[in-house]
Amino acid sequence: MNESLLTNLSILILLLPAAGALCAGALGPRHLKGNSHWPVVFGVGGAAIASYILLFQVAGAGEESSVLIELYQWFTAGGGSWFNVELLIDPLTAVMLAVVTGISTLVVIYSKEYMRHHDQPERGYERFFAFLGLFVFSMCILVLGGNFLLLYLGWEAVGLCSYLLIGFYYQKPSAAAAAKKAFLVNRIGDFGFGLGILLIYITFGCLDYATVFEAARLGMDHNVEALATLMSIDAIQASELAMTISSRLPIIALLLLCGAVGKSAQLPLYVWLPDAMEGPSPVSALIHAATMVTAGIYMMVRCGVIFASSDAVMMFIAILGAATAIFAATIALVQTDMKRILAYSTISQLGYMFLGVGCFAAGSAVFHLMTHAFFKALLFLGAGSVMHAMGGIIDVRRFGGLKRILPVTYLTMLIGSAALAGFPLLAGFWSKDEIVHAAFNQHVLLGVVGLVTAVLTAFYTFRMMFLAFWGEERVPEGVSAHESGKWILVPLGILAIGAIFSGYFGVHVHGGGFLGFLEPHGALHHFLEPVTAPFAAHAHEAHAAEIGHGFFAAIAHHWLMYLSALLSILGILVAYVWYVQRPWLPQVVRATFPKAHFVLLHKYFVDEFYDTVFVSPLRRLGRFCYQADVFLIDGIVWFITVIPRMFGQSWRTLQTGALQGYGLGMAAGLALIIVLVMMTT
Amino acid sequence: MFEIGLTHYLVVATLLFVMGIFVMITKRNAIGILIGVEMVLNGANINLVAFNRYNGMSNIDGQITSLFVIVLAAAEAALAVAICMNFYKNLNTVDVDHGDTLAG
Amino acid sequence: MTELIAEIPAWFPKAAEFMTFSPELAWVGTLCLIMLAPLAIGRDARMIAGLAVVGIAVTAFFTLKVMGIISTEGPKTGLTPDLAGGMLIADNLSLFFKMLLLVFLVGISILWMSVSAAQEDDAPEFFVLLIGSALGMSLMVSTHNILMMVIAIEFASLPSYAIVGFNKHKRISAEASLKYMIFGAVSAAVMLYGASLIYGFFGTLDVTQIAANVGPVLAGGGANQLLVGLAMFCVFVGIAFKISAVPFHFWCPDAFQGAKTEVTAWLSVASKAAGLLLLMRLVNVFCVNAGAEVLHGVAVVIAVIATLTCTLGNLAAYKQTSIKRMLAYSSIAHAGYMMAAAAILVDAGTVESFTAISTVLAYVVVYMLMNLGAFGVVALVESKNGDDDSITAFAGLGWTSPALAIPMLFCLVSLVGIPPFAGFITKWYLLAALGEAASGLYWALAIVIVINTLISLWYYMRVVVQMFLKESDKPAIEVPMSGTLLVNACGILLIVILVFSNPLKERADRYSAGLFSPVPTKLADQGSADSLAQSIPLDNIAAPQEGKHGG
Repeated sequence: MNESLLTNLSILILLLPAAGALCAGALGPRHLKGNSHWPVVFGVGGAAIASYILLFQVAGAGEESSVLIELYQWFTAGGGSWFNVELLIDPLTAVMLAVVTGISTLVVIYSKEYMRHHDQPERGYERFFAFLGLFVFSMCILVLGGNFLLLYLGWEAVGLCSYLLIGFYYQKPSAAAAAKKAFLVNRIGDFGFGLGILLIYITFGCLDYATVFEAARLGMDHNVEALATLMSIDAIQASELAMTISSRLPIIALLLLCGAVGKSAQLPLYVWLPDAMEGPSPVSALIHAATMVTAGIYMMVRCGVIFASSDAVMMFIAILGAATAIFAATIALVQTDMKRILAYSTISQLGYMFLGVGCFAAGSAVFHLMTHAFFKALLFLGAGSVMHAMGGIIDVRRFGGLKRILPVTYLTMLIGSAALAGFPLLAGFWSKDEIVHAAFNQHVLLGVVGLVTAVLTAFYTFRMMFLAFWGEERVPEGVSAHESGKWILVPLGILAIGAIFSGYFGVHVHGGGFLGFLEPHGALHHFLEPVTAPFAAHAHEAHAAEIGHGFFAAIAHHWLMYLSALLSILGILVAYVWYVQRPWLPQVVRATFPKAHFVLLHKYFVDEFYDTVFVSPLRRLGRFCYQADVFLIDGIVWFITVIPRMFGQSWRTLQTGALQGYGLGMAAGLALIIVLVMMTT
Repeated sequence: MFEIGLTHYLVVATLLFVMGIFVMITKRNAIGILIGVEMVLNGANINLVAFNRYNGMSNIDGQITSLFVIVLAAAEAALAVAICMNFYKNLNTVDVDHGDTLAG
Repeated sequence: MTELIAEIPAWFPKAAEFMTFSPELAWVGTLCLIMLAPLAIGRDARMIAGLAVVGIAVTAFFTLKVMGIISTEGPKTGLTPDLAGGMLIADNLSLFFKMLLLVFLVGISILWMSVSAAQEDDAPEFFVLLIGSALGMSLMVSTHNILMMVIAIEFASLPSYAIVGFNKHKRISAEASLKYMIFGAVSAAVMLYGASLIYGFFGTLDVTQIAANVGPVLAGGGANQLLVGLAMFCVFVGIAFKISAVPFHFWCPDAFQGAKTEVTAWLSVASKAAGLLLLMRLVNVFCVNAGAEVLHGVAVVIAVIATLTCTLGNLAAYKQTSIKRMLAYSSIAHAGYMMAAAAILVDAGTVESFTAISTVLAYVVVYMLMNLGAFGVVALVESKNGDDDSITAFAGLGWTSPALAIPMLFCLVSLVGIPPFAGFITKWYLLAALGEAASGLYWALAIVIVINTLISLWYYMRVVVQMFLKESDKPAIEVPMSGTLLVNACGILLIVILVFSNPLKERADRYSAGLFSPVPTKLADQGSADSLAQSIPLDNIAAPQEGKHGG
């Protein structure tokens, strides 16, 4: 590969959004004002162009598709070893960059119109764009970084940006509370993540990916000689190191997983994500659907060597993902706030990605990450467009039948919903199907959970669509609904195209029966193979016997594909019957028909169940924590500071201002020093 | 007649030093404190010259150093008196204990 | 012609020697020019400041040139009549510090132009005193001779007393300068007395020669050990006064609060840094011969004082209401952190000492930026608030004047020493150096520093809370563009240094490396040390006196 070109491109990708953010932040308040979006649009857009050039460079490179660029030495860890600022460019980075900068560009363009009311920029307009630019910069550091230190830096920085943007309307108490909640919940995960990185440093003595992963691989293989050469130590030390590595890797994996669970909103740390919808819709689309929340999946795929080394950890990840997927999907069934439905849906889809990683199908997880970024960003931006038209109201009970008022929004959101629901041939269908397939290979139950979640997904997505866009035309009082302008609609259109076609990056086209001519595991997977190799290696060990390559396996797979297509359509149909054909059905059924009543009750029961088991204990815990915070933590803090304050006060009285007193102080100080020196020696 | 040796000079210097320190600690008048400083400096001077004279040194570092010290003392005294006058102009006293606005 | 050359005495410096010390000469030339300038160009503040900056630039040019010479030919001494060894040294450390001072002088001049120039009638005097004290500070770091150290300290101190009291009509200013002066005079006297005793013991004031003989005396025990130890401690008192190490720090908050803020900014960095580097050089030279036991003793003394200095500085800052006084205590605490590195220097072998000096150099650079930025904002805000230096005067600054509040935030967070600012990286280096020295004493020091960092967080954040969480109905303050640019440049540099810390670290390493050639080469001609001594008939001067006394 052309290394200098890659270096320049990656520097551009980092600097352009940062420069845009700086420009918007510094010049925005006084000079740019309502034009503050321009530097960020150009910065992020330029980064996107550079990312796509980079992607093509990497894609054209073939075998040697991984390059480590050492920009400069950063600071010493003592003893002559340096932490470097180094960038790792490989297929995974390239794909992530393309997704992040591509979606970001569309979101920034969208925000230009969204963050205005009656063509007047909202309060904090320049702040919003500065934070967006900063977020893109941080996210690029996260995915480009060539060592754990930069990963951690980006990880914390995107968390900070997320906090700042959730709390963008900080005058609103709910927004401020949501921002705080997101920050605190993420702290829990990040604490584990930080410990994991610390443990890596303690174990390997360095933090760069190349050395750590190679050493981990050699340590697991117990290849003492190669390990000794790599770490430049003697054989005995190497043998000890190999033992340490094999015993510590699962712990490291679990600690890193903590971070991923927090950032990617999995059980039990998912609670911050639904609340994060207090932020402006573009933020929800970009940070809380398409990019930041997928950082956990990125990290797990990146650290494949560490995660895939332990089957138990992988199984845990798979179960966690499956549980989160179905859990969040059931909650989404009964929500009425459009953005909250989408938020739970995001949690559920992230659960799919975890499931994919846990079932050794890292390529499929990244594939789903990519397709999900398109259709979920589309849905959030669409919801934002609806919200814009409805004067800030987003509750589907308060409006309906909007498809004639908002035709473009409706059409694009319909595409996005169909993709999310796994409607055949759209993006979500392919990627989700692959994960379900991998789950079946791992364990039948995981696969079944995946399929059930798929039905639920189709149902709740179209329930939302039918409630909002079909039926009788209703708008909230005093709102003159209107379709949004081109700055909003063009990004929606582009994302809709992505929601239809992005699935075909991962599909291998060849001859065959119905749907059979499109085989999963196509170009994208092949492209990602260098990165996902650790998963593949372990997957072969685990499932070599189960995965057949013959006719039967192909049939089995195709059946699964037909089945998931059918289930998706089934979910949509049920939603259609309930919310369009017989809109009275839910109400009447609940009152009269015991069977349907049971189903509703059951759903209600699930909701209640989660409420009693998770939410209110959490709230009680929260209240307890608050009390503890007030009495215990504040008390401790007060107690800790009382000592310095006391000393500070008494010290102040010593400095009387009178020179004679100073002389006395000097004499006393000298005596104290003599005593201390005597004591020390 | 007894021979006057190094020890005698050193005793005088030490006495000057101790008296100087004592004056610095006890005096409240800024000029008084400065006189204490001068005494300590002169003690140092006597030391330097006496050591140079009696310790059999081939050079005159001590004497030259003492010259420097005299010049330093003069410069310091000039500046100190100026500062004291400024203090007096603002506070109508040169009693250092009156300057306790800056404290804490 | 030949006769004329022959008549130039042997001790007269050679051209190469003049070149080596051209920065000092340019410095003195600048001083003279500014002193005479009122006769030619009047007393206009702008003209004088411009002249000063030009002089500083010329000096900086020569400094850079000499840096080039030193880097190829090694450190040099010279430009002084030869007493026992070179009284002036030009090596990497001294030149580095000169550059630092010159850059800082420019910053202070800009700050002075934006806050004080308008109502100042005595611009020439101010600049003469400021630049004069700077020359004294640079000399403090360029010598191995205790006499020269004393002269340099006085040279740095006397103008400092005067500029602290430069607001002649302000009561606190007069009080501050009096206190500073009396403290300074007392400690200088004590230092000189100690120096005279050292001279008596070793027959010389040259530190390299003392170092050669100090080991046996100090390790021998008895009265000699006590006396020499005491004498050295007396010398240390003079340096500790400059560093404002506890318990010789009492002058510091008072002088800093009473002085004009730009003067405070100058003293809080320059005089402390000069004292510290002097201390580092002194103990470093003693490193060569003084035996482990003695070194350990000195290390313990410095470590104890460092601990007291940073702890008491931070604690006393806790309840301050004046931001200048708070930052003064903060500067005491930072001096304590840097002294902790000086403690390593003494005890450990070469590699660790090397790291220690480079740590302090890096720290001083970053510390200069942080303090210039913080005091700069204080000066700007104060000048528009009727000299109100209380912390509450900063209420709501984040909303009314973000262009001042944001660099202030950067500087304060950097002063705490947490990411993402350069203060973090230097504190990291400090802790890493302490950790590498790997002994109980240094681990204890590292823990002390970490605890102190936590303590300091609280009082720095009080200002941040005032700026960003308190409402204020005051209008935005209009400050000169130059001042705003200066503080913002400091703030941005703090981030830049964190992101690209390598150049700073590399330079610090390089400049500290030269310190370990124990005796710099004499410049004029190598064999001349003896011949020079003979050429001046010193013995002849001494002999008659001896004869007189003897008779």
